[in-house]
Amino acid sequence: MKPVYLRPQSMEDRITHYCPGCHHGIIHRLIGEVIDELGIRGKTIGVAPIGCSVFIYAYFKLDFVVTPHGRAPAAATGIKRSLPSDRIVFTYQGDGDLASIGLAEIIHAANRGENITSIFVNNANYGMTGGQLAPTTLLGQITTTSPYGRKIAVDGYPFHIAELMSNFKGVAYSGRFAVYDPKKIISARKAIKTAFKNQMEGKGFSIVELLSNCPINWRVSVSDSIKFVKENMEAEFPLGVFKGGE
Amino acid sequence: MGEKVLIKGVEAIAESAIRAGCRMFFGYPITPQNETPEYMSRRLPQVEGIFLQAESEIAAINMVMGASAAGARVMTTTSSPGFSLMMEGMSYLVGMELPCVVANVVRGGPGLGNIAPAQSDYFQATKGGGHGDYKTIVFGPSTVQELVELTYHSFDLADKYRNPVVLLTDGALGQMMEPVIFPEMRKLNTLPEKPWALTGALNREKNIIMSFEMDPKILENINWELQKKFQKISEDEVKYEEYATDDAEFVIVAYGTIGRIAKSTVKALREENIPVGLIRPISLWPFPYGVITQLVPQVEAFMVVEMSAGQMVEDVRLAVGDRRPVFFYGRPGGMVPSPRDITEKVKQCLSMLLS
Amino acid sequence: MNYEIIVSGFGGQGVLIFGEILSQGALKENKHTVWFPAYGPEQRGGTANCTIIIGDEEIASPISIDPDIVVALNQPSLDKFEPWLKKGGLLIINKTLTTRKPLRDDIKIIEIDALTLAREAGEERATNIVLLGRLLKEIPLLSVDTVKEVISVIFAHRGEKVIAANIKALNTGWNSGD
Ligand SMILES: Cc1ncc(C[n+]2csc(CCOP(=O)(O)OP(=O)(O)O)c2C)c(N)n1
Repeated sequence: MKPVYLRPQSMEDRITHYCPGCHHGIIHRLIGEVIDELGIRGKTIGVAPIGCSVFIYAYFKLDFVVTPHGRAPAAATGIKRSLPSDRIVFTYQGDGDLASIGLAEIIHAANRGENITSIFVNNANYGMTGGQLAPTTLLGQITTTSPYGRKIAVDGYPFHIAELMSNFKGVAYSGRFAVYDPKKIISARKAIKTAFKNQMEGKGFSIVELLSNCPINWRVSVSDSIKFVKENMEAEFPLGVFKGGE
Repeated sequence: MGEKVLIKGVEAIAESAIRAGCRMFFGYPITPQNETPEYMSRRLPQVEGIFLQAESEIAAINMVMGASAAGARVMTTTSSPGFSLMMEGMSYLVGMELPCVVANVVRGGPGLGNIAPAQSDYFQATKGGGHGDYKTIVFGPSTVQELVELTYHSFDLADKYRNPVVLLTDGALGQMMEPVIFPEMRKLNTLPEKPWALTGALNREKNIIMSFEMDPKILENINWELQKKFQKISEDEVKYEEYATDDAEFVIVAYGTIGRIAKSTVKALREENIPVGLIRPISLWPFPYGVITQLVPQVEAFMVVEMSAGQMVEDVRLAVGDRRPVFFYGRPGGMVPSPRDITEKVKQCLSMLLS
Repeated sequence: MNYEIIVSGFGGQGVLIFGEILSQGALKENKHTVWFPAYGPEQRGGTANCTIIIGDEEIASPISIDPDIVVALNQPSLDKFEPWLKKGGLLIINKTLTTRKPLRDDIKIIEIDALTLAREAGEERATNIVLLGRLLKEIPLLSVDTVKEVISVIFAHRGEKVIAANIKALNTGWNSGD
């Protein structure tokens, strides 16, 4: 019998630590598939964030470094510039890591047109530390540090990273996708592939924002969390490509 | 008032700060102190205070700087990696002579380390931590009640000396619940006046707050003035607990979580008629050198116990000199020694002394 | 004297609440107490546990290495904490979720089918409270009335029905004697 669905070769045979229903696992797999498809396993270096995905190094057969909270793009810059140009460097970051404490680093990497790829997982809260407000938390959304719901007067507006990134001349590609159904997953996979291919072709900085869920910290069922991504997050954060195409 | 409540250390810090008149809090999430900002985010709006989650610890400490310059009682809390990010701001705060209270719920390090209890930020907290010649007052509480009292006291000391005060604790005390009695809610109109604060130069000379002076001669004088203040603090603000030291021939020195664990060791050894005592420093800076030095003639040896590879032991050695042996027992990386572990170490040291 | 108690089980079995009820009760009865959870990654995978100390003496160390009482809600907890118990100590086991008999013969052992009893009391989630009821019968750390009061406060946000079911579970545990 011919198997039709295998673990990507660039991934370890290992059960992840992520909570049941969390989308980090799907996104990991998409990266694994793209790396296999582009044949870059032996040339790719990953830069892990601080967040739930701090353990990402355990799931890939890739070199990885775990950098301080928010500083992955700076570390990736150091790696990329130290190695022969055929090496592929990517960061994998959450919304606290990338859009809050690490905003300066991501913006400057983008503006320099740093030839790296950033995979940005937006789950509208801080997962690792127990569900606090993130820059991407929706208006009215209750978190452990916005117990009365996010208010404009206190925390301002949800932060739009994919749109922001599209404004920098150094950015080759910026888009926002979701991974809660097969159709969305296919588009997200295509975007991730573009973001890696751009780097191989030396086109400059590429970022893919992925809307994700966090059922445990949102305190909802997995199916309700998907509904929230679809109905609430997508209303605030429209999907699409904001800069660069195929 | 007077009613005892059962509360976690990290929540007790928050409530006690509010009682002390703190109405401004800026912080960034990090385990194991998330309950402090979470508590503040619920409580401060109820007392017309402001809670704001900063975009990073760098931002948080600079927001603290702003609020303090404006005259507010203000606080931030964090854990080791975040405390490191705050060091630049702390240096500025001291240079600007701005009061604030910062709690560091220390976790295992170096780097990301882990979230288990540790005491490995002792040097960083007590010897300055950031750049320049500076000191912050540092307290190492060992019970939740003491944490409450020291938090409350810290705000007064910060204002008195116009200097940051650091509460150095760990997740063990932070996550533990104990019965406490909170102090009365401080009436805001009884807080000290701050004529130096930036409130708008209406009908008065303008106020400038900065840590900057281009002329080395003048900056040197400013530094000596700061040192005089630190000297005064060293004379007036030392705090420690002495336990069973009267007739002690062997003295353990330990603070914070280990301070209380070591107390159980002393109790156990006393039951075996072994004359052991405990010095538990409460102010880590200023360090209680004096009481240790005074014990030297009476004591055969000292032992320092820490959840680190050995930091406070250097201060104890300064106090003892080479007149008596100073043993060290430490567990770095988030390990917490038990009373039995410490008891065994004491016995080992005692037999070494005999042989 | 002071009693040192370790309660251990899977996350979600109400181990921390078990401890909190004891500490809240101790507070009500003006006793010394500390509630000390094992926190962090340990909670995620295997066992959640907490140490509670109750008594009339000042509490120094919050860590217990030779507890007077161990309450084990599952097998990993039994494996881990049975050896810790003080000689002559009390081991209470949730038989529903353990797969072997305890090994020691120098301690007092009580095994109860707590999950089944909790189901009978109408609240499966009150397995912990059944065990608490039995513990209080064996060693009167606190008066049962105090504990009932604490239960009414702690579960107040979940409504009268939950409170009643938990009190019933407490009684069931108390009456589960041999
Ligand atoms: C300097 C510093 N501050 C704070 C932390 C604590 N911390 C760990 S992960 C995290 C945020 C995680 O949120 P996010 O980036 O959204 O990723 P997620 O966990 O949701 O995937 C924080 C604040 C830290 N490790 N270092």
